[in-house]
Amino acid sequence: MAELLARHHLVRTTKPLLIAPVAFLSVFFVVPVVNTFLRFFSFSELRDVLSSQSFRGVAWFSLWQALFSTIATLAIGLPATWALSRFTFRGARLARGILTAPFVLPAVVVAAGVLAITDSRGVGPIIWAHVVFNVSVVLRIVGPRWSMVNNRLEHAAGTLGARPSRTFALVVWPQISEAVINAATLVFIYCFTSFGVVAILGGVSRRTLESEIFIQAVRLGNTSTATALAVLQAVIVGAVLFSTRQRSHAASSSERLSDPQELRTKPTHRLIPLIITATVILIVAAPLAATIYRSLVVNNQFSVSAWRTILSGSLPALSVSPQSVITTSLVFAVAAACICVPLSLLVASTSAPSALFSLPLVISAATLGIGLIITFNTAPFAWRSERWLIPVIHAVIALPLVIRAIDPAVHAIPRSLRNASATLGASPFITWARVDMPILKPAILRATGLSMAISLGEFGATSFLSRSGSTTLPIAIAQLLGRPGVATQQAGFALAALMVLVTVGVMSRA
Amino acid sequence: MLKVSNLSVAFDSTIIVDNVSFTVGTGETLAITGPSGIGKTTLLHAICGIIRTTHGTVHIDNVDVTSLPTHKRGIGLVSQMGDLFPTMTVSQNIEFGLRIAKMPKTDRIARTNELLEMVNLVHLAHRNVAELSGGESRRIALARALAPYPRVLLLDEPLSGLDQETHDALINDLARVLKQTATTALLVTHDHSEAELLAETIFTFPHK
Repeated sequence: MAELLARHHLVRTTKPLLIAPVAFLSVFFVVPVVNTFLRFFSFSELRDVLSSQSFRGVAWFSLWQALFSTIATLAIGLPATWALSRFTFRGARLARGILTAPFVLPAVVVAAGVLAITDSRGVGPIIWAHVVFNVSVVLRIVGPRWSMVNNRLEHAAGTLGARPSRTFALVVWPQISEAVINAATLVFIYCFTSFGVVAILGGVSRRTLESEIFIQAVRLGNTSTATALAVLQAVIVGAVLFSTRQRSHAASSSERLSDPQELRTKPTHRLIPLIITATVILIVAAPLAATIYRSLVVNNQFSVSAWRTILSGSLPALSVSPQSVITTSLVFAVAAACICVPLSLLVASTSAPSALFSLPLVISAATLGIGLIITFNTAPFAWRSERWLIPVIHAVIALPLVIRAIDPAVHAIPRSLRNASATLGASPFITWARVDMPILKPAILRATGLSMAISLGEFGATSFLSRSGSTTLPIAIAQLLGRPGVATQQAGFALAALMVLVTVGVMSRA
Repeated sequence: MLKVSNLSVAFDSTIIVDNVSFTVGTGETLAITGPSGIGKTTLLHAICGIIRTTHGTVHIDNVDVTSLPTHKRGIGLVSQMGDLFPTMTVSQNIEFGLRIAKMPKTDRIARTNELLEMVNLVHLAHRNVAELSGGESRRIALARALAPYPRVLLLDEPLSGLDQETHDALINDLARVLKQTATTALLVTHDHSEAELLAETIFTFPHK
């Protein structure tokens, strides 16, 4: 009861901390998105979009490719999750690292990797890229839950005569189903709103609603059509979120899960998990390795010319030098982290979670992009061409995930430590600086790495804002891979390979 | 001296502490006893300002501290779990309150050593707190709370959850330290024998 009372007091006293993050998100997210809908949305335009065979085709493609991508991701991701959360073996930690790395890699890099292997565009490569990107989502969401399923319950079911399949259906599934539904929902939404992957692997004929929004808004200047498409997309995403939320609540077990279980290490048990893990690693890591390979081999000849070009030369296909692109991306990543991490700390410290901070996950990057170019187009807010707007928007997009990275660590600090500090004479600020911050240091480092990785890879909203002086790595990669010429393509792969190395480096240090 | 007058704490419409009054004389120890879940810890938290009171006042040495924030009340708290700061060593934990009070370094070191000697743990000065046993953690928590010379020391079941041998050793140490430092102390416990050994006065927490 004392803890409850203290928490109640904390919520009341920390609410003012929300002012800065709420203001930030309102100015750079809510206002642009609402402004777009208010100014350009009309039901007649939506009716036209819905009656257009071409747009219906785009919507239908977005839906079914997302559905197939989700099924494929679960079919590949769940066995790997089972292997890595229920068994331990040499290299399991490395395997987990390899499989979770693509989550923070830019979609264009993953797409470039798949392109490096398939050398063709279309539905197959799109689904493969989505699988590579999203297996980590399944592993991250379902893994912790599966590892807490009590082994003894499975043993008990076995002694009562249940076959492994019945044990899974009756004992394990009820405990992990909510996590699986949550993961499937997120994967579906990521695939449904896919932009970078489709931009590179879709070719001229395959477009998702997200890429169509970009084409309509930026290339054709049809803002009303783009807005109608954005509304259609938001409605579908909202419907999926709503329906799966109902299901996941229904599937949720009221039984408290146990602590992480002892992992099995018996040799008889180890072979199948090893084979599964190796196979999934091959599917996920092959495209990443392929970017490095394609950056070093041209016409079956080993060559470092592409690396030399991106590190010290120039490319006619890019209006700025590759080194300038790399510097710009790194500066933006640092700036975005400097904005995003402190704001996330403030949100996490309030003990008052708000749905507002999850909105950037629901509203697509392209929708935000349209809002930005419309809203920040007239004085005194004519910021759409300002370089600083890009890292600011990267911070907006990273905010929900970075909050989720920091929040558990903030709430894991026992309230009693702060009470102890206060009774020793420390003011709330000193307690925060000397007690909370040292404990939060690892989480802050992880969050900084995550924020930088998201900024380095952001493609959707940046596509709307990027100018020749502010070209980022994903934009440059998409430009290079979208143009003909062996040297241009190889430079694109070299930049993609560089991003693989930088992102994995940043994340492994975080 | 600690004087609690007509103190009440309510959460929404639920009354947790109802109109409690008592006085602890300077250098004395008062034990509050009663079953678990009755609101004893809530009372301590209200006295040190972690929880807001609904009604009533708290006076320390005849000064009304009811509206002061926790860090300005001059109250030390030893909680059930010790709550040592995990990123600091044993001596850094003890020094924490002295640093906040901006005590000069030489005095700080001397005071820390004095307290380590008082709780017989000088050899653990540079140890990581995660490596301490339950009994050692409680001793360090006591030393840390006493370090900045609190005007009142609140002890919230400081001996709970310890094995019998450690409990017996620690209760004697606690009695010795309270006597040696002549600290005004308020002890919350559900163990009557503990209350009788450590306190001059026993106050039974009123049932709601």
